[in-house]
Amino acid sequence: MIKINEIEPFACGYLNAEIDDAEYRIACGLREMAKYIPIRLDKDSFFAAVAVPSELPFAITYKFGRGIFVRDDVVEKRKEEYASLEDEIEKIASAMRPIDTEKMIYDSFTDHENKLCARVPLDGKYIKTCWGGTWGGHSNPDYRMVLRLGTSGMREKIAVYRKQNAGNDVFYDSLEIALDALDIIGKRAHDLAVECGNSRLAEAYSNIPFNSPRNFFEACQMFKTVFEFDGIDSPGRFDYTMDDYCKDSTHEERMACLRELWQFFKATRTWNLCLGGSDENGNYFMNELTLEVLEVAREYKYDTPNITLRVSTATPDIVWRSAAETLATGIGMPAIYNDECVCPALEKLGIKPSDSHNYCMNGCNQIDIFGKSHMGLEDGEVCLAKCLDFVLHNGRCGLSGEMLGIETGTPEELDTYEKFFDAYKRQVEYITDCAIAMSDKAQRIYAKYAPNPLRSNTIEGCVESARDYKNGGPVYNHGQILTEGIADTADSLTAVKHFVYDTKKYTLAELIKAIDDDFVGHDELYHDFSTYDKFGNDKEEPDSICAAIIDHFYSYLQTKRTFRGGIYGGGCSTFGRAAFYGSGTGALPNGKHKEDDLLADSIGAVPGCDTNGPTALLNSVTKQPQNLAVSGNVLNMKFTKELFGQEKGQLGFIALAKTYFKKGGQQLSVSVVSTEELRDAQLHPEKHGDLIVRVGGYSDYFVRLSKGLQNNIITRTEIAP
Amino acid sequence: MNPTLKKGVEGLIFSIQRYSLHDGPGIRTIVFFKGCNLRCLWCHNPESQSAVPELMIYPDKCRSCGACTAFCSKAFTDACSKCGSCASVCRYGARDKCGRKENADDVFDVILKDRDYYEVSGGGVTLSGGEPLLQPEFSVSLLEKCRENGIHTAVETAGNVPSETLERIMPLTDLFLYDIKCIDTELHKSLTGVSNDLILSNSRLLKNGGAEVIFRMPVVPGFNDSEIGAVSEFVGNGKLELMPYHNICSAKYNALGREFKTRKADVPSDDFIRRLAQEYPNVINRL
Repeated sequence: MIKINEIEPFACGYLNAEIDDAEYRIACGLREMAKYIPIRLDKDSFFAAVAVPSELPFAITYKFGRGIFVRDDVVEKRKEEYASLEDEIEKIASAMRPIDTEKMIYDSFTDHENKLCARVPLDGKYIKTCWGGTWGGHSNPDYRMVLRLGTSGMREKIAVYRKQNAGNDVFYDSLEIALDALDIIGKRAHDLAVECGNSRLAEAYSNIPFNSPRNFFEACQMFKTVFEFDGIDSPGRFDYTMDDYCKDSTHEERMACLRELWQFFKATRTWNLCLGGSDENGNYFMNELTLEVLEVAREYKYDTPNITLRVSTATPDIVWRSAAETLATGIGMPAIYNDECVCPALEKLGIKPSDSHNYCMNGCNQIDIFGKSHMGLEDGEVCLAKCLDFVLHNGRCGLSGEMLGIETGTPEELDTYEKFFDAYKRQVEYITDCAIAMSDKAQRIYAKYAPNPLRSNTIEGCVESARDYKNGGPVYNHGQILTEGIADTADSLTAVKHFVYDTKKYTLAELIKAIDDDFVGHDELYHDFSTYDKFGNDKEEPDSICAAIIDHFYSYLQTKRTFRGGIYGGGCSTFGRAAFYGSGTGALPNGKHKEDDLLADSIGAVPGCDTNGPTALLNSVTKQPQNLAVSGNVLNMKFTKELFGQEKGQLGFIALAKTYFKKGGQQLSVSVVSTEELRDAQLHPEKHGDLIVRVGGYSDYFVRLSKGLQNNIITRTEIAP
Repeated sequence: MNPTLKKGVEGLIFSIQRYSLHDGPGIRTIVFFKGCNLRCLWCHNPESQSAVPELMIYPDKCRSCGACTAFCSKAFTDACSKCGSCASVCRYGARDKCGRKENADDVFDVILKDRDYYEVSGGGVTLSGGEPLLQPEFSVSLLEKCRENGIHTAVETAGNVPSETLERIMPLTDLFLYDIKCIDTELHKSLTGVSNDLILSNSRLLKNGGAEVIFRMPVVPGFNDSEIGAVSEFVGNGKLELMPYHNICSAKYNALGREFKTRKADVPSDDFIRRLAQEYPNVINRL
């Protein structure tokens, strides 16, 4: 007869733990889950597959970015499925519901915070100003270390530090229990392989995960097993991780493994896989896998994983050419990051040079130190354009009239541009403080109620310091707050400065009236404001205002500490959320209408406003303080297939990217697609199911996006032959 | 800067295009001069031909706001001289004045903005048009500034200009993109309105002078494609780039209120150009 442990193993392990300690309870939950988690392995399996979070049948689980998770719909399904255990299931669910991490976080938010993050409607509308903290964040476990040590080596490491840090036995016991979970899965996989006669996997699992893998295949299988049980986050520096195993494997062996992994990455929507970069001494790093991964990406043209390529002036031409060829397929990958911008920026945060050279991307496009950090990812977000709306309405939301910001002056009081800009800065600082307050609450709840004993094993610093991954254990514990609406705000401030303060053609009160009327009946004012110089055209005034607002926001963030012991850094990677923020922002002095539901994508120009070509856009962007963007500054560009299909077009792109990086640019991502094709895809989505575009920091299928976001991408300036 | 302090030569241009990959090596800034003394039937920049500013009208963008008629009573009437002044009041881009006087210093400021891109890509500046060599002082001024700053220079010319002009330009130019439409003189007259005697003799001048030249031939099926062999032979051991005809410029003819005489010509396929590239060894097109 089936027992309750098999139905809800995590909850049972958690509740039945003999020590009342969150870390210990969660470790026991994971160990119990390892006993019953589905494993797919048959005679013909290339790799074994441990069920990933989306496949788990259990109602109550633990996820890296979500903490303790009670899915009430699944609780009801489980009760129906196992009618005889209905009462027991309900008893367990009732015990776990109060400690559902997200619920605890939301319960901690104030009414004002709920309004800021659009959890409650204002005047019937969901208006988002900022958010903070509910998501537990990505990180990159140190798979290189995991493969080098195996669980047995990791236990030896624990033993060493258990002695050094006496009095932390419960913590170290928890970590060992989490390793037990991996060993249990290894043992189950081995037995399954023997049972069904898969001798290759039986052989592999006779060694892994206890010991270091002996060959490339075992290394991939061990990586995959730990990656799956950990919850499918980012593989991180994959070529670097596997470097030990490249030398003794053939191209064919590696490609066979990569092709299998690629199907798995796609099926599980795996996050960020990073290639290239440098070793801990700062020397350029690449190996056979760097090119092979790009080759596989071209072969399958999937939208996942999100591939990042780290480059520097030392990056050989063969890597650039392979990257351009991969981009030419239209998958929007790899995103290219400039080591010479990122590494010094990280060092300014106090990150050691040997570690800054070990950065990689996480989730969509956030910067992380591979295997050594919990960088928040993402701790929160602030919409700068909405802060400008508060300035125009003396702290109130222009759409709802609700007091969401702070009083920064009436139109009469804001009689110089300096005062106006100062008011803007104060609104931004206030809202940033709100986002950070929310983030801190959430991070404390994670640390106290949802620590992660598995990642405390796989992220350096936790074992050494006897502190959990969520509680300042990792070597680096910085936070990251992203931003929205940079170009919209820059263009708006530029026009306000020109027409209200420099030429005095309009008063501030007149402008505010026009904004409140959504420009209806204000044709001349609308024409003036909407056609004035825009950011992204290599023009001094809007570019310097844009640089000033980024400098202000990122610098302000860096004065703030995370409770985990790090510094908050800024970045801009708007994902699909630009639409959500746009609809809540209202009309803006750059000519944005109330019904325009989109803001600029990441750090680029407002779509369609960059009309002087890509070099002008890049020149504008490099005037921004890119070296303050420690969380990642995404710039999306759109090239036509016609141009990128030619060698000349690819070489032109490579030269463009190299120059951008030489001038201090941080990141570049590229959609290769024709506007015509995008328009046709709107009309006939069924014919364009495979059309991929770059949105904020990731690639996605075009037909899956909202209409508004689709229009945003169509309007994005196209670089044509 | 106070405009009166500018000392540079003035020229008439209609566009400056940055990040061009098609007219010379690397990433280039192209300065499009206005005014040409050929009238090629297929010209893909018809707005470049007239040596005065002119009005281009895009009716689909017009919202009938009345701004242009309020500005000038001749707008929308037969008396309209197409001077383009009304474009300054049009808010919707329906009226566009093509052509503007620019000071060489100002143009060079734009050129300098992309200097880093030229350096990394091996690119530079291309004077194109129109016919840049019909404004020799302006051309020389721009080319000299580029030279002083170590920026690679290319000149795209149809060659129907006084030999003395070419001789002046030659030492300042790193690369000529030299158009040859056809070899047969009578055919040339009927296609472009002028004889090609001067064009062909000037091309010899360049070759003999040791200039770096890429000859360019527009390929317009039904009009000059019969001449490909003759042009290839004329180019000899030089480089020949075939420029396949396209018709995406027809909107510009409409905006100018002019007829596009080769509208119905076939657009050569990539395959067609590829075959020609195989047939004639001096063709450098890479497809």
